[in-house]
Amino acid sequence: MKRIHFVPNRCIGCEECVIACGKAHDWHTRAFVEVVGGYFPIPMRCSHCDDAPCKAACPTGAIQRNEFGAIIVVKEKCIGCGTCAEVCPFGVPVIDDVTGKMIKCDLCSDILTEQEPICVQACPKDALEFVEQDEPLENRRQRMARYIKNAVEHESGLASRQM
Amino acid sequence: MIAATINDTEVLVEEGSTVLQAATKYGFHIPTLCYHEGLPAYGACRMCLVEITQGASSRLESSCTRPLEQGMVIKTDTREIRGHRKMIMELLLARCPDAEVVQEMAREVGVTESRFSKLNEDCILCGLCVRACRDAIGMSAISFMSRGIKRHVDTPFSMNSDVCVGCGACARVCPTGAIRVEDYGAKRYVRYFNTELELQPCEECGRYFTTKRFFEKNKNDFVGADELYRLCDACRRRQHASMLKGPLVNVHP
Repeated sequence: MKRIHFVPNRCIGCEECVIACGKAHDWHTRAFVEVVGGYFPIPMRCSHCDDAPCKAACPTGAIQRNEFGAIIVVKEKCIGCGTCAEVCPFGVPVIDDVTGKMIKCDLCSDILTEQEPICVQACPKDALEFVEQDEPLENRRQRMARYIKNAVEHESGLASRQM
Repeated sequence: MIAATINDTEVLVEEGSTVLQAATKYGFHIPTLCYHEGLPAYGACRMCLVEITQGASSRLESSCTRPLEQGMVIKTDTREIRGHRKMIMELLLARCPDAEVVQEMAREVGVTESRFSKLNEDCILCGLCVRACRDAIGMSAISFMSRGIKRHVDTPFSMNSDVCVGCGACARVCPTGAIRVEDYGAKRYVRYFNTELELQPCEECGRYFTTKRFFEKNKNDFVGADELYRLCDACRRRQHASMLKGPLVNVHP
């Protein structure tokens, strides 16, 4: 099962992912980039949680997990009550005022058999990666250790320059 | 699995499926006005009538409410059914001549003019709003009132509802757009039902993002008293981004 991973430090906040997502989904974008701390961009998308609160709260069962492991909204079943928007801690599902249905990231399930999700394709700095979720834990630990190493090196570099 | 025949095609569907679901699965189009996949079937509009033959007897039934049974022989588009559908659309066209969904459906079944006197209502009494409120949200703030030609959807005594949570699902499932939900200032108005509710502001940016009652309901049912849920969707994303920033990359101040 593959997931979109975010690589910190690579994101430049260009919002190409947001634009590409909108272009692929009738300009109802499901990707967001939040700039925190003044100039630190972090892309925020649906996490497709294992224990998804939106899926548990949906009163009509419109939010389901599909064969790619993505949490999707079945349009025909959605009544637009907005409960999922209320219970999502990440603020991802947003009601589309035109159709009155919930829209959220579907991991681009329609093209997923041949291609990667559109936001991953669009990212010019490879800050979004489409990687196997069940990669060995050891690899994941090493990857995180590398990030921290880079971050520490970068910080000490900054510190030495300031001195 | 249940085997039946729809329009001379052998169909095989799971137990518990309705005739409409089976027909849709095999690509037979049945026109519907009051059917919604996320809500229980109600059989209000009668547009989905089909001819069901079991053994020697044959009768017309609404396919959305009829569970499929072994050995049923179903016809979805006979001359008799077309006649019934035309009649229903003529009546609905007289009731709601301005509703787009009615005009579209009338064109589909071949009705252009109604011979009945016009009423200029905007509700087709499909009951989608009633079912959304009762069966999905569980509030039962609205229901059908009166009988016969006076039948309409309303809150008890047409008064400001004190159970409505203002989620807006009734307006969003309404096929004719009769129900409108509007936000002005700190109030949400559900026009069709004479109901007004107070809105809940985001603690971070002050934008109104839901109603106070819906917020309380979700707090009790799902999310608990977490601070995070007092924020609007944009502020929740920002909050999470800043939470991620700290542990992941301790580079920038």
